[in-house]
Amino acid sequence: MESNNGANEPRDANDKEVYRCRLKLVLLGESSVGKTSIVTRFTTGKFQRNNATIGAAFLNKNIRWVDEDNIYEVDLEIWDTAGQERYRSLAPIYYRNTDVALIVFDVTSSNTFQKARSWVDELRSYLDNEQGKEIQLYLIGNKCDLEHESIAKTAILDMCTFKEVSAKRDEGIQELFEEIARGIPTDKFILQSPSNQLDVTDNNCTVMLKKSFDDLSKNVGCNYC
Amino acid sequence: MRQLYTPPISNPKFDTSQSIKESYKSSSSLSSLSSSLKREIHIDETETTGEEDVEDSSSKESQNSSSQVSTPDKFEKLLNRKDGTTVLTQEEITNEVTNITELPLELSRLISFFIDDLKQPKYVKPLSIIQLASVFQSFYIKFDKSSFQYLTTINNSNNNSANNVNMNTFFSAKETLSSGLSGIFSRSRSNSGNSVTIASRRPRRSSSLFSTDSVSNLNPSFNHQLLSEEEINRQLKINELNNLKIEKFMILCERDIFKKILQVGTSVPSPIKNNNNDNDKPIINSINGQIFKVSNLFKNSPEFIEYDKKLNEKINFLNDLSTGGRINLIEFLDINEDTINENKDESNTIEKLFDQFLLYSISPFEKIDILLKIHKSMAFYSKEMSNDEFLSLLIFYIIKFSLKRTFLNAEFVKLFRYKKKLVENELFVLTNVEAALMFVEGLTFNDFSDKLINKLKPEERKLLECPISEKITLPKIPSDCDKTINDGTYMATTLGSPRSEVLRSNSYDRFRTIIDSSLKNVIGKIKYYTPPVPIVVDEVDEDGETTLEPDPLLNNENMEGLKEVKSITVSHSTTSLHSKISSSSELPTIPDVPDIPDDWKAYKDMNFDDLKMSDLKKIFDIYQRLID
Repeated sequence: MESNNGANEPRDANDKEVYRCRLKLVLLGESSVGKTSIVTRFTTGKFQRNNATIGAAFLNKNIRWVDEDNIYEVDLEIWDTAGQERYRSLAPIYYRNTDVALIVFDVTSSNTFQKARSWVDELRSYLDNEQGKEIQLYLIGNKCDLEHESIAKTAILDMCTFKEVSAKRDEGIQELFEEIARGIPTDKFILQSPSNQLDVTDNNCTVMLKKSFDDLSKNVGCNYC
Repeated sequence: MRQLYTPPISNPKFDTSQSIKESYKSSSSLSSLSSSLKREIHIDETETTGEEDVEDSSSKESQNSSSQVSTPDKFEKLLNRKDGTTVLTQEEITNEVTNITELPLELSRLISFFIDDLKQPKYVKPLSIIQLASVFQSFYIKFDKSSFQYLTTINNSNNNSANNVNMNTFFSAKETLSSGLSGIFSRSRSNSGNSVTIASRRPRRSSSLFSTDSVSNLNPSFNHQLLSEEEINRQLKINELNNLKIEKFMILCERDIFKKILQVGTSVPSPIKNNNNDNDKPIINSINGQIFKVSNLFKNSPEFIEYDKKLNEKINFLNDLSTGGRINLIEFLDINEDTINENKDESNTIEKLFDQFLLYSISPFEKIDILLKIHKSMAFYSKEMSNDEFLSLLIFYIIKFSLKRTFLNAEFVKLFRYKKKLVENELFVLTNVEAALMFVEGLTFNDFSDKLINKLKPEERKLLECPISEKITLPKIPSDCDKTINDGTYMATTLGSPRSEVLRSNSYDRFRTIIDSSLKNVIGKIKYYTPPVPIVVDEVDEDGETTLEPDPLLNNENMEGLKEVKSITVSHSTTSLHSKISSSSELPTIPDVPDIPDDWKAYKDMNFDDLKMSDLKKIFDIYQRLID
C-alpha cells in the first residue's frame, strides 16, 4: 500500500500520465502589425523567415511541460488571417471554433489599437451569440522595442489578457505562447493511454476499437477517444 | 503490493507452479527492464507527438516544467526516434503502405454494401445534400473501425502463425490482452469513458499490452516473462504501420466510393463528356469517358446549385471586367504585378491544378490534396506568405481563370471528406477557398468606382446589386457537424434526426405520424415499402427480415475463406426509426454469437488483479465458447 507521504511525492517521469490537448489559435489584427512575424519568431526562432509548406499562414506547434504529477502536451494549430480591411468580413470563417484569439496591434500606431478594440468587440459579440463557445482573448501589443507612447487600454483589459511583445527582438514571444498553453482549462486535456484499446458494448456486441495516441486522430485511422 | 504473476490465459502450456514462484520473486532484478520498457513507451509517445528535439523528461522536470516547441512532421516522427533507433524506414513505409493501391476484398465489400444501401428506396423524400453527407460520414466511421479490425485480425492471424513456429510469448500475450476476454471484460460498456479528462479520470484497465496500467501496474516479472525491448519495438512498428495503413484505406475508401458512384450513376442526365486530352490527369478521374460532376450530388439541394450558378455568373462577369480592361484586377487585389509576371510557369501550374480540382478529380481526398498543392505552388509569391497573400492570390486566380463550380467542389469536400481527417492544414486551405469565394460573392457597387458602375449595362449592374448570400440562403450545417469539422470528433448520431425525418417505413406508427402531419404528403409520396434486397443479401425471410452476410473481419478463422461466415439478422420492420437507421446503413461489425453464456458479464466490474485462478479458468471457458 502506498503511504500518504508517498502519495504526495512527485512521481517519476516515467510513471506520469500524459495529457494532451489540441488547440486552435487565430491571429487577428491589421496588416503590418506583425502577426506573421510573431508566429514566425515563435515557430522558427527567427524574424521574418519561415520554412513551412503553406508559408506562415498555417502552422502546427507542440508545447510540452511536466509538473509534479503529469506531462502536458498542447498541439497548437496557428491560423493566420488576412489583415487587410477588405477581408475584414471574412474573419468569422477563420475564428469559428477557435480556442484562442490573439488580437495583435502595433504599439506605435494608435490606429491599429483602435482596430484591435473593434476586434475584441466583434469577438465578444460572437461569443454572446454563440452559446457554449469559449475563446481566450489575448491583446498583443507588438513592436514594443520601438519607442511608443502608452496606450490607454484599460477599457478592454477586463475582456482580455494584454501582453507586450517584440517579434524583432524576440521579447515575450515564447512566454506568451507558454502562458496560453498553461492557461488552458484542465478539462480540455485528454488523458493519453499509450495503447490501442478495445471496448465492447454488450448490448449489441459491437466492438468499438479505439486508438491510443490522440495525434493519430488526424494522421491515422481509428481514434474514438 | 505484491501482485500475482498471471500467465497468458491463452497459453495452455503455461506452468502454473511457475506462476506462484514468479509471483513471489523479488522484483528488484527486473526493475531495470521494466523501466526501460516504460522509457520505450514514453519515447514513442513523444515521437508520435512530433517532438523532434525533446529533452529528456526527467531533466525537464528538474527545470520545473519548461516547455519546448517543435514542428511536427508526420514521416520524420515515424522514421526517427529520440534514441536514434529507427522505428519505420522509408522502405518499410513504401513497401507496406505506399504500395497499397487497392482495398482488401473484405473492406471493398463494405463499399459495395454501402452503395447498394444507398440505392434502396427507403426514404420518403430525397435526401438533401447535408443529410446525404451525414450518411457518408456514418459510413466512414464504420469503415474506419472495420479497417482497424481487419488489420488487427490479420496481425493476430500472423501472430498465431508466429507462435506456432517460435512459441513467442509476446504474441501470445498480445493476443490475450488485445482480443481476449481480459480486455473485453475490463472495458467500459459504454463509450462515455473514451476520453478521460483530468476531472473525471478513473482507474481503468486497458486491454492493450502497452497501456499505462499494463505497463506500470503489473508485476515487473510479468513483463519480464512476456516482453523484450525487441518485441516491444516490433509491436510499435506494427502499430505505426497499421495506423498508416488505415489512413491509406480511408483514402482508398473515399476514392472507391465516388468512383463507384460515377460508375453506377446518380439518376441524373448523363455526365459531361471528357474531351480533354491532358495526359497528366489520373486514370481514375475518367471512367468510360465520364468525369465526375459534383453538381449531380447536389441535385436535391437546389439552393446550392442556384448559389453556384450565380457565383459563376459573377466570376465570369469579373473576368470580363478584367480582360476587357475595365478593372485592373492586380491593382484591385493589391497584388505585386512583377512577381506574377516573372512567375508565369507557376501560374500555369496553378491553372492546371485548378482544372484537376474542378474536373479531373473524384474523391474529396484528391480534391483537398490538390488544394494543398495549389497553396504550396503559390508560395512563389513571397518568402513569408501570410494569409493576405494567399487570399489575394486565390481570388485573383479564381477570377482570372474564370473557374466554374468552385463553390460546389469546395462544398463537396467540406461535406464528404471524412471529418476526422478534414483538420489542420486541410481545413485551413479549404477555409481559404471558402473565404475567397465569399469575398467574390459579396462584391457589390460599393467595391468599385462610380466611374465603372455608371458604365455598366443593366444586366451587369444586377450582378453587383447585392451579395449572393442575400438572395439565396443556404441551409446551415448543424452546429454539431460544424464543430466536428474542426475538432475531428464527428458523431454521426448528432445528425441522425434529419435522416429519421425522411426515413421511409412500412410500420403503422410511421404512417400515422405522416398522416397526422400531412395527408397530402401521404397520398403524394408514401408508397408501401418493400424491404430492399441488396446484392449481398442471401435470403429474405417471410417476416420481412433480411439476412445479410456478416462482417467476417472479426472472425479469425474466416479471414481467408469468407465462406463459413455466420449470419446476422437485420430487421427492416422495426418501428424504431433509430434502429432502422442503424440497420440500413450500419454494416455488421461482429457476427451474432448464438451461444453466449449468461455469465459472460460476471467479471465486468472486477479488476484483473483480483481474479483468482478459478476465475481465469471460467473466463477462459467463456472465451472458448465465444470463439467457437
